[in-house]
Amino acid sequence: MTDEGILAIARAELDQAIRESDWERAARAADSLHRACLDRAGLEHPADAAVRVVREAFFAQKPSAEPPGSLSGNRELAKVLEDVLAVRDSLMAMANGDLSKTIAVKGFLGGSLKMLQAHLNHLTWQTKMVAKGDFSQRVDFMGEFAEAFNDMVAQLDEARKKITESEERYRSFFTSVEAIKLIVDPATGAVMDANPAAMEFYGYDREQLRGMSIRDLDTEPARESLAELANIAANKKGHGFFRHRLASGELREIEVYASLIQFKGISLVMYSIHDVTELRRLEQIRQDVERIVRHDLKSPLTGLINIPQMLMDDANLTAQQREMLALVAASGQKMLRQINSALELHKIESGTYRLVAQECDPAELIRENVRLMSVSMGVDPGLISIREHGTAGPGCRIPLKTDLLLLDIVLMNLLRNALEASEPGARVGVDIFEDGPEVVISVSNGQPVPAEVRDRFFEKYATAGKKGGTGLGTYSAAIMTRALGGSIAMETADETGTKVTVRIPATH
Amino acid sequence: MAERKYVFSWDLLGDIALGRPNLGPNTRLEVYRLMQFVFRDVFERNYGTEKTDEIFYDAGKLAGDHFYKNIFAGITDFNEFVKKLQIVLKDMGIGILRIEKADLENGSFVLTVSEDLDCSGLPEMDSEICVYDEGFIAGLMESFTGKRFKVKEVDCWCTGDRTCRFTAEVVKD
Ligand SMILES: [Zn+2]
Repeated sequence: MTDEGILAIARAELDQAIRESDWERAARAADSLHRACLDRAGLEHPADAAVRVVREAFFAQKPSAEPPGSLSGNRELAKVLEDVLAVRDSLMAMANGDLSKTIAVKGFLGGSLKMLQAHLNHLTWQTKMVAKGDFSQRVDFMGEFAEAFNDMVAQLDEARKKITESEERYRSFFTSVEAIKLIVDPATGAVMDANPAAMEFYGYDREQLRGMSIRDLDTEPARESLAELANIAANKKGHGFFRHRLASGELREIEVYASLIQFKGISLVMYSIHDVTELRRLEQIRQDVERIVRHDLKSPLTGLINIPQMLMDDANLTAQQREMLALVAASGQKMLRQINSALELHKIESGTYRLVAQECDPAELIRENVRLMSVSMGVDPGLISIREHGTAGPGCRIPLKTDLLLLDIVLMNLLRNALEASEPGARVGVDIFEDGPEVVISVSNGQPVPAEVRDRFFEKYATAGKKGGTGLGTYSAAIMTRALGGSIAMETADETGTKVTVRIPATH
Repeated sequence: MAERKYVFSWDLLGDIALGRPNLGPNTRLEVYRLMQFVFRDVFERNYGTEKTDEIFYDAGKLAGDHFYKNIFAGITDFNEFVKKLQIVLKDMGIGILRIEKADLENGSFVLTVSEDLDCSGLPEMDSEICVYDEGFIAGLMESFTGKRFKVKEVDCWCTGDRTCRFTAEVVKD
C-alpha cells in the first residue's frame, strides 16, 4: 500500500472515531497520523527522543546534558537528566576512591549512594581508630569483609595483649629479681634500663644509668665491648668477664651472661651480672698459697733433709745421735713427699699435669719407702716382702719408664694404707711383674676392707674411721695411676684379705 | 516571665520500673512519632515553620544536655565517648550512629544516624525533618567539648536519602 493510502485510511479512521466520540480510538488514530507525518518530515517522535536521551544519560560514555530541541521546554526531563548525570559523577568519584564528593541528588538513587558513602567513610574512620590502637572497633558492613576485618582486628588485639603481657611479665621479672640486670642497645652500647639490684650495685640511680653507655662502666672500653655486644646480638647468647667501675670509683670483677631479648619490637641485650670480685680474690689467695708451698717450703726442706745426711758422715756421733739424725732426715723426706703429693694432686685435678717419663725401678722405690717408714713410723722392714718377677725370671729387674715422682707417691700411699689397715706384726706383700705392655704392682694385706667403704674405696674422703686418715690416700693413688695412663683395682674378701693392684704402661 | 509550671530535670522522668511493672520501659514507635509530629503541626500553625524548628532544636539540645549528664559524665576521651554513645543509642533503639569524619582539632564532624527514631521510613518530603536530632547532637557535643556547636542535618530519610547525615561544626567567635 502506498503512503498516500495509509494516510487516507488513518484520516478516515480519525474522522470516524471523532464522529462516534470514541476518544481512545481517536487518540490512537491521531498518534498514527502524527508518526506518519513526522516520518515524512524526517523528524523524531518526542517520546522516542525522551527515551533516547534518558538511555544515553544512564548508559552512554558521553551523554548529552541537554534535552533535544523538540523537548527543550520540558523541565521535568531536564531535571531527570541533571540528576542522572549527577549520580553518574558521584558514582564515578566513589569508584575512583573519592569519598568526599557531596552527592547533590535526592531520592532513592542518591539516597542509596549516600548510604554507601556514609558506610565507606565510617569504615575509613574505624580503620583510622584501629591504626591509633583502638582494637575494639568492629565493622558491620559488607558481610565477608566485615568478618575478615573483625577477625584481623581481634587478632591484632590478641597479639598486642600478648606482647603487653610478656612485656609486663618481663618487666616484673626484671625489677623483682635480686640479680643485677642491665638492658643495653647492642647498636650503640647505650644502657636502656637497669633494675634495682643494678642501681644498688653500681651506686647510680635509674636515670643516671640510662644516660650512660656500657663503655662508661667498662674499665677497658678498648676491649671492644660493643663488638662483643654485636656478637651477642648475632648469637643470641654470650658470656664474658669484665671489670666495671662503680659510682664510688671502686673496681669490680664481673662475670656477664648476656642474652638477646625483644622489647617493643627492638632487639636489645640483657646483661645478667655476677660480682666475682670475691671469688677472684680467693682464687688469688689459693695461687699464692701454692706458690708459697712450692718455693718457700720446699727449698728450706731440702736443706733440712740434706744436713742430717752430711752430719751422719761425721764419725764422732753416738749411735743414738745417728738414729735421731736419721729420724730428722726421714721426717723431712716424708714432709717433702706429702707436699709433692699435694702439689701433684692439685695439678691433676686442675688439668695442668703433664707427664714427664724417666727410668724407674719400682722394687727399689718400694724398698726406699719401706726404709723411710721404718725410721719415721717404726715399721719393721721384715714384715714387708717384695716379690719381683721379671721376664727373665724371679728377682730380675723390670724396666719401667714413667713419672718417677707420681709412681713413688702411688706406692707410698698403697704401702702406708696396707700397713695402717693391718694388725700389728702382720705381713704386707708386694708383687711386681710384667703383663704384656704393662707393669703390674699389687700390695696385699690380711685385713678385708670394711663393707661400708668397699663401693667407694677410691673416692675422695672415703675412710673407714681409721685414725689419722685423711681419706686422700687411695683417692690420690687412683687419680695419679690414671694420670700415668694406668688403672687401679681393689679385691677384698674376709678370708683372703685385701689386694690393691696397679697397672701402668711400661713405656711412654 | 511568670513563675513556670515545669522545669525539666532527669528525675522528673519518674520511676518507670515502679510505675509500669507490667508494661515496662518500652512503647511503640508510632506513639513517639505521633506525639512529635502533632506537636510540630500545632506549633507550625501557631508559630510558623521557622519558630517551630527553633523550638524543636532547643528542645533537642536540652535533651542532649541532660542525656550527657546522666550517661556520659566523666568521659574525657573522644573515642571512648563515641563508642559509648554508639552502644547507648543502639541499645535504647534511638538509631545506629556512624562517624564519617572527626576532626577534633578544628571541631568539625560528619556523622550519620541510620534507622533513626524520628524519620527512618517517613514518606518523602521537601526538606529535612530531624531538627530535634540536630539539637540533641548539638547538646551532646557541647556538653562533651564545652564549646558551642552548630549541627545541621544535610541528608535525611525523608528527603529520600535513606540515612540521616549531620554536620557538626564548632561555632567560632
Ligand atoms: Zn532525618
